[in-house]
Amino acid sequence: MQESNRNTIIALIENGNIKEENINSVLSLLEIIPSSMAWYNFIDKLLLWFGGLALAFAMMFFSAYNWSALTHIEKFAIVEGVMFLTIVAYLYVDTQKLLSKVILMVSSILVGVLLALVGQTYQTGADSWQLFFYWAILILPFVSIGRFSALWIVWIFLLNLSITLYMDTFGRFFGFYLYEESFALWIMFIFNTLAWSIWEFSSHRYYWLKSNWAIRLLGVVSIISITWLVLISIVDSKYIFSIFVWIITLLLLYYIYRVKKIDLFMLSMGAFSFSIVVVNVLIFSISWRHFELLHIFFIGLVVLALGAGFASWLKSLQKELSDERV
Amino acid sequence: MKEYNMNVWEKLSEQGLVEGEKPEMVVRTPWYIKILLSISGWLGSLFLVVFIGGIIGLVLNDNIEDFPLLLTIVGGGIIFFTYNMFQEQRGDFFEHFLLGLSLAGQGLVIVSVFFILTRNSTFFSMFDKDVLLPIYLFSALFQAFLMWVMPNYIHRVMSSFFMVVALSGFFIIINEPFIINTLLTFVVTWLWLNEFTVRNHARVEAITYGLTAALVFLIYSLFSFSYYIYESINFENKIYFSLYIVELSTFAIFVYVIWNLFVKGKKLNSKRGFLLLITLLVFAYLSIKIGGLIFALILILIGFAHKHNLLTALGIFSAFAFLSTYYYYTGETLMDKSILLALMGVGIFLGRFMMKIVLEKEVSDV
Repeated sequence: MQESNRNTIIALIENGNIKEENINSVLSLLEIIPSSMAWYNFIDKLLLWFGGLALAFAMMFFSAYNWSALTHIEKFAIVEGVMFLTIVAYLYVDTQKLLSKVILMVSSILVGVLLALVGQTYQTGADSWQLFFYWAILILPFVSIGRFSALWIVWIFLLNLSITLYMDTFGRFFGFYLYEESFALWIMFIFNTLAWSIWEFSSHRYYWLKSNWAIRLLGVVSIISITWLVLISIVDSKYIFSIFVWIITLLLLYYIYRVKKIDLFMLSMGAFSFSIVVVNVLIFSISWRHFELLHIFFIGLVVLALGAGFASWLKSLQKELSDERV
Repeated sequence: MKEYNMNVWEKLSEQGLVEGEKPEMVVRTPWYIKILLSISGWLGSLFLVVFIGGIIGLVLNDNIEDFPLLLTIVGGGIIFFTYNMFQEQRGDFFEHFLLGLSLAGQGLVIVSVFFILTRNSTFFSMFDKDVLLPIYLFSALFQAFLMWVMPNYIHRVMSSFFMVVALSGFFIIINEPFIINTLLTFVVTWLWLNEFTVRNHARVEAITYGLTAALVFLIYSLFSFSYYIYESINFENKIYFSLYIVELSTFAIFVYVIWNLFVKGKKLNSKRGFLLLITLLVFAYLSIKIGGLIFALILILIGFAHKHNLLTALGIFSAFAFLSTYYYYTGETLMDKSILLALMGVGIFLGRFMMKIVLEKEVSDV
């Protein structure tokens, strides 16, 4: 049963169509209340995830504690031993089952723990971006065989983190000194948009990539990056190129998520980005010396009008969608 | 707004579970559109507050702090006006405008109370306990009133959120920063458990969303900064309602959830089910030290029990957030934390292993 059935029940209860004494029967009939078997499966999965993550985090905290009673070799032996065990366990588990995905996730976390332990033990002097970058590179085999969207998101997150930390450390790229924050945002925008596009197009081919939440997450990061870049351009009155790219991004977003298919979440993000940019253009186009109360009132009205206008448009699209379904 | 699924009506009608006329089809607004509306309402209201404040400042020659009563009357008038306007459906823009206007009115009322309380204060005594305590209390009561009275969904969500924030400020000042966690966890849990049977559903649903969001925000800030709170606020008295009591009460609420979902509903009433519940309870008990994790678990379980995907997602997101803040707790060493997490992990896998044995035995018996 879809979640929309839940909404239907709520609507009918609010409307007085269902008597209080019948509510439980209705919930059972429409399978809103899960069966015992559904509960078994759900709690089993939940415990599996929490158990796996608890062990991985335990190892991370243990390694960070830097216990002086243990020698370096013993510490490495513990972390590597556990990692070895997880890899062996993976070989004996059905790769179609959730347990295999949990094991791969734990192994991937342990790789990071091991790298951090190397840095802690040998004081390599390496920058923090290197930790996350090499972590991402080393877990690539796990990510590739996992066929698991959450693991790919972890991988993309690590690369995003290393890009940010790299720019924080050097502010330059391939020898070009670029101290501006905007350069890191450009790299993040390009990287995440690429990941988003590849994911979106590959999701038609590979069933395990059909995770709406992952595509949306990548879309959100991309849109935030380009919107931020546009805001910097508005404040600095330079880098007009970012405005051009932002317009192209919004047009593509509209084409893919309105014309090709309808995704209200993505369209909401586009609407949000558009509203923020328009309001900032209005604020920064008025000279501070000539800023008057009426300007403030006008900008307030524009903010409200944009929010209401987009909400109205999105609701009409939603209505269109539900009419098609009926 | 709601979504009526035609097949559902026919299905329920056949069983005689619905009565009255078949309702017209209307569409329920998704949560992200509601958030879009809330943010722009909030932002728009900021501009309106500045505008109205500026107008009043112009009229009063920039001495607005000398006329707190006037500010209260203007702010109260604005809220009363929006209350009346909200009574009828007036379209998205107007509804949105009213939301912004009401927030602006609330801002004026609270600022006026601040001016009244600080009338004879110097700048440094403006943020004393004697000033902040009544402001927080007034704001909480004021928001509680609006939360119940204002006939608008997003307004109720926002008012209930602000009410909790103000209440938590109040409890921090009276040296009991954690009491609100337990109280609110129970209220939110009860509301979600009874969401289908509670009266005034539309009103209560909006309030429950606001309270839930506020509680996640509150737990995250309290547990991220709990030790900073201890250090930065010089508590004159001992905290009576200690963190330990909060932890135990939250666990008791978790047991209440388990009882409601499984024991009362006669779910999982086999040997394997019993083991599953015991594992879940042991896991929850061990996690009481990880602030908020039990609440996240409650959200996940109720979300699944009621097919409420948004609640489940919020629970999962909160669980990650609470787990990550655990690293920074200064009250325990990393070794203690590591041992606790390892115990949790081993306990869970042991429980699962035993369940597997029981399942195999059940199958072989059959």
